[in-house]
Amino acid sequence: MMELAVVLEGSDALEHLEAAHNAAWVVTDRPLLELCRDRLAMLIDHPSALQLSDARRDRLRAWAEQVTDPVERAALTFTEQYTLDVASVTDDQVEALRAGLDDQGLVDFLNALLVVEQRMRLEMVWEQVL
Amino acid sequence: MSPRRPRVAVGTVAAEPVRAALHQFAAAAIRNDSVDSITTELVRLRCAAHHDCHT
Repeated sequence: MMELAVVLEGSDALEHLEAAHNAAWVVTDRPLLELCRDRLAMLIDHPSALQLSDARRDRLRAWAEQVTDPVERAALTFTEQYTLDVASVTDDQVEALRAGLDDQGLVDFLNALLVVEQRMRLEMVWEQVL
Repeated sequence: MSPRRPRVAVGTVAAEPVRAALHQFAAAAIRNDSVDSITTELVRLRCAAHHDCHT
């Protein structure tokens, strides 16, 4: 995969994208974000999904049956809806996640998920186009 | 379009490190002149529609 540094040579966009990406992992619960990152990678066919263990992939593919923690379930539900059609995220989906994270935690998680998703999609687009 | 109601307390914003870096990334992307301005604007509008963005 083409390095982002090559694509953005001469721009400071990469520096800020990396700063946002690094900050994303600081401001929210890391295992929760990792869980959603991996599910997101599977959904959009990001190459990192191929690095997942079979057990991890199987668990995430069947998370509705295998994941019992309510916050993880709410985060995965949100992540799937966000990935497929972000404009159709429902109040109930947001409230389920907010109930587990509180207002500030919800906003930080969503921003972190946004950064992770943007970076993944940019990597994939650049790989296809350039 | 149905009216929206706040989903979090008014005034809740992302933690400073992510918020600042995202703003700086967006500004850097806009400053990048390797894509012409019309294409950039079309993409911006398409993304806004996709995200149901009202800004």
